[in-house]
Amino acid sequence: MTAVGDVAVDPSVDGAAPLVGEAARLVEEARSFLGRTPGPTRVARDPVNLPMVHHWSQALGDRNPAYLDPDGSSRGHLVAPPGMLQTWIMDAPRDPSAPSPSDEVMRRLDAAGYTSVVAVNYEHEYVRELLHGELVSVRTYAEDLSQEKQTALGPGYFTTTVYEYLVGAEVVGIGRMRILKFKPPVKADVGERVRPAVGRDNAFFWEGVEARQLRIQKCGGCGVLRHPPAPLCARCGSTEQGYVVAVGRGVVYSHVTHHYPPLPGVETPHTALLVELEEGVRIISELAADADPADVRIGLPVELVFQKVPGGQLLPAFRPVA
Amino acid sequence: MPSYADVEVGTALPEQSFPVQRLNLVMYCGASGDFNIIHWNERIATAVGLPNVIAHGMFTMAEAGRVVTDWAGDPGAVLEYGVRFSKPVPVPDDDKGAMLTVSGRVEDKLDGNRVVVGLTATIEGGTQVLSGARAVVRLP
Repeated sequence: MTAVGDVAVDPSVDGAAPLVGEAARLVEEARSFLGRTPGPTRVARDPVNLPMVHHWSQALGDRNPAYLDPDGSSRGHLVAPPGMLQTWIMDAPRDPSAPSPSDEVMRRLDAAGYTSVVAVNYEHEYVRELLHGELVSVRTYAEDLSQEKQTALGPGYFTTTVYEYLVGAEVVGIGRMRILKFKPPVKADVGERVRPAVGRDNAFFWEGVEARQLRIQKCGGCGVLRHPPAPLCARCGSTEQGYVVAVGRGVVYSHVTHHYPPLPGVETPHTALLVELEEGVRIISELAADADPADVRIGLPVELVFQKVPGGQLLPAFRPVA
Repeated sequence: MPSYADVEVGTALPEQSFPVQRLNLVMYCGASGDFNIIHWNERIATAVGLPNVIAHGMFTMAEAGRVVTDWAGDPGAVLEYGVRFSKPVPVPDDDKGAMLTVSGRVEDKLDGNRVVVGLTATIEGGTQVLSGARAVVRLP
């Protein structure tokens, strides 16, 4: 079976650049297998039987007497659980030299790089209930193949496989499974972030970060706050200095999101923020890794967090106030 | 068993909650023949970006369908059943696992004694794990 995960995706988002070259050729070739002509019929290994129903019922905790007790069924005979429709043919032998049209579609999407799969929709139509002792067979065809879509999981194609379940020549059920075949994003090793240069003037700041405090330098002469730390006050000239601990709130004064080129220890897209703190000074920082760059705008209220960046350095960062 | 004449659009089906533990998934692997590793191996599941081992979509679908089959009494009365897998059902390796809560209501009455039942399936925290879940049932 093709179902692998069942993960949320957004099929409504479109806008991929046109494919070029080999991948485009493979996808177009995949389209030539669409249609209602089914592939070879595969026959179940075992007929519908009570032991398999027992295992299924136990896994789900579903003790419906219609499945297990002929006297408890309103029909006077056992009914196979409708949800087991696909189960009967899971181990039906396959002939690798006789692929179905949907196998052909999957092979080409795999070859084009869309190697991952999640089930999106699943529909069953029960033409009639299955009876114990019946031998189920299945044949499939590929119903549709979308254009390339940008999804939360990566770029991919939606495609629907139709399963026709038969007993002899009689269609007893139909399954329709829509899946997303997608290209998983490759998370590159970004290396380590450059370490801060710590000196006499800014040691208090980095000691603060280790203590998960954002410390702002305060002039020991006139009391003005300043950032970044400096050896003397630009207003009164004093070299006396202390600090205050920021409350950790502010607004975005400016921002920029970096996509390229790659920088050591920076996972892109990376949003650098200029935050105006409540205390009145501005600090260059970054957007917290769990926040979305699309939410950032000038004036956005943000709050302080601390996060480890690649390489293990702890740094202050900001995220939108919830 | 409810009869077609008794139900109205808006009739609620009894809500049910189904605990889902790792054991259920292991059993379902064997029962369904779907041994995909993300349904039983946390190391691989998290390495491919999932929050944890997740329940089989068909497991969740079948469990949710019990609200319909238990209500109708006769599982053979279910004519169609379809879902969209909107969010995965993570099943942590603790004493609780996940709790799937499913409610249903009659959304439409069709000819031939058929009714359309819409289902809502959520896990703890209120996350909806199926969307557009609908079954067509033939009532006496």
